[in-house]
Amino acid sequence: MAFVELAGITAGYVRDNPVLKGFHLEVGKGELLSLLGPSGCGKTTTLRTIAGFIIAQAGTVMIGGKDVTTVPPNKRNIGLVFQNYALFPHLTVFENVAYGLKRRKVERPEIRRRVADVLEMVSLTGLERRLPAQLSGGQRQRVALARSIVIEPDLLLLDEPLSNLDAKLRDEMRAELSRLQHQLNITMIYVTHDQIEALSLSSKIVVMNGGDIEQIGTPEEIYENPATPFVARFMGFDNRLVGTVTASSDSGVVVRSGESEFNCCRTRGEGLQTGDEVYLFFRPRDAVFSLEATENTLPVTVNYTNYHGSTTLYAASSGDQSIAVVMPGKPTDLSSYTKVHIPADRLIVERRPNHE
Amino acid sequence: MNQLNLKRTLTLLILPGAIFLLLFFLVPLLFVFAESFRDAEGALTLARYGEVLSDRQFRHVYLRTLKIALIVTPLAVLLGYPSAYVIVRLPVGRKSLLMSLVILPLMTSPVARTFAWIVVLGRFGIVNETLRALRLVQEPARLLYTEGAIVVGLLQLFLPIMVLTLVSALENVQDDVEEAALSLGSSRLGSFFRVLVPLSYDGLIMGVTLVFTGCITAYVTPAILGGTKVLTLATLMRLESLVLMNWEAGTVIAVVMIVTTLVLYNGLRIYRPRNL
Repeated sequence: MAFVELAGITAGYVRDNPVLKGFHLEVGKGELLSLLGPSGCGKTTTLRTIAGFIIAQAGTVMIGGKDVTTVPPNKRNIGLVFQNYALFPHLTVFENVAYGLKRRKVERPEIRRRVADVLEMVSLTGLERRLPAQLSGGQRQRVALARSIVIEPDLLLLDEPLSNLDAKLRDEMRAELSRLQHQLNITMIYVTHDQIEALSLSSKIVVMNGGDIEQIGTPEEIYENPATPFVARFMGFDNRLVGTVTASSDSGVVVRSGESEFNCCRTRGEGLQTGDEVYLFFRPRDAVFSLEATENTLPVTVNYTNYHGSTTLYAASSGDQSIAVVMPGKPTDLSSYTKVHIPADRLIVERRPNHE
Repeated sequence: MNQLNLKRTLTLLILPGAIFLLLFFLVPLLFVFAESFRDAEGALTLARYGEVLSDRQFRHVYLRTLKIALIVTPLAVLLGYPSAYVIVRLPVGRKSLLMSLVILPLMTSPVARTFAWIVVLGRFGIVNETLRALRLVQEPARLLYTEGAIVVGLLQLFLPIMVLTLVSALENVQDDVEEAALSLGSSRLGSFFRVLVPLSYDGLIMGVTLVFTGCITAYVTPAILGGTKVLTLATLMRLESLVLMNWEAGTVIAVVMIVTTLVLYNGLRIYRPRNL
């Protein structure tokens, strides 16, 4: 049975226009589930409903088999890590971490022991007497983390905890979060708009858009087999071609786009038939400039290049469609190359929604 | 703009205000201060303080003024904090509506406002008429020209100032620290006292000082609502200097007022509860 269960949740900030409408979600015990999506997709609303800061207009929230729909946040035993840390600026590191234990009337010696343990866990030993203003961003986020796990919560909620850190620190903290999750085996729900964070940390990813779930799956499933055009776009399938199915068999479909024909073996939206209008998605990394290839090629003209260090982005166009291709190494003159090849297993076919 | 120019610009910007205050506020104040330590021949003396401070009427009035200030200020805090807490959390539209309601009394003349209290508290005022209609009293109760009337009048006068200072103090507190406290198991009230009050303490000191100083120095309100019977420091000072022509006593009272408010302000700054 699911450890956290949202059933038929309708919730939001404005009564007449809820962000979530009849929303369902299940999180297994010990799972690290990411809610991934762009801003305004409802991921934070979901998190705040679970935390108890938003009371659902309809539906139930169950945690550990108990109905907590109307239980106030301070009675839910949930740890919460905020995007901007939300440390108590007037309290020292020790007092910040001890705050939840004091509210639980834990004995003083035990508070000291548990705070010391958790500070060691997040490598902050020795900074007990510092005030939050005297800490770096990374240290503050560690304090916030320590403060929320020291109370041994049933559930840990993290709201974009790494988005205020610079890139290098973010990688470190990500690794540390992953380590802590394995060490504590605590159920976590992690809100992020960063696909790399979601992919590297989660056991399960929920991609959200407009208050609805687009896809639920393991990181591999989400990354390799996006279920909808939205997920494909969000997971870096930046190139989109418009096409029509010209043949279909059990092994895949053939799609014609402009003058080009593509064999695609990875089909989503099963049951595509000849004549169906589709999108073809592929990642910039998966296309290669080629002289020899004869099938699965797209005629292109390179417009400009953008050097990224280890890779180079070639912005190209094919007819009136713009195509991005990323190749390793420095920019090279590719004026003699007039086509790119996209391997059949790198293409994703999605049925084109009727309304578009 | 380089560092030196910036400094010069800042100085130039501050200068006009500083000169004005220096000439028309600080210098006269120093004259008053110096005058209170001189006798008729101009020699230094503490005799005037001895005279005034040993005067029974002065001590009585001083303690009454202090008492009124010490009742009004906590009441203003008690009424101001919840209002400020709510105002800060309102959506923008309703927030500015409530803020203008708070500011509205400040935009009316204190004289008119205080006379309105006579209409309310007078012998045949609204309160007495209601009490009599309800047969709670036989004779009209004496509500005007009492300490109670001054307390009510000053509270009404200074509550907006308390609310305004607390609103700006609470607005500087990050929204999510309260949520963090709640998620860690604090009740709403607990997180208010443990987190919001310490974090808005500077605003609280400011509000308390402004209201307390206002109460100690207020003239119009005690003059109208206290009359000549229930004197406060300000009305006594006027009586001494402008009616009895005892300027010396007036200067001493002025210094006593300043010292009293400075003691309170600095006391609050030094006593700073970090973790309630």
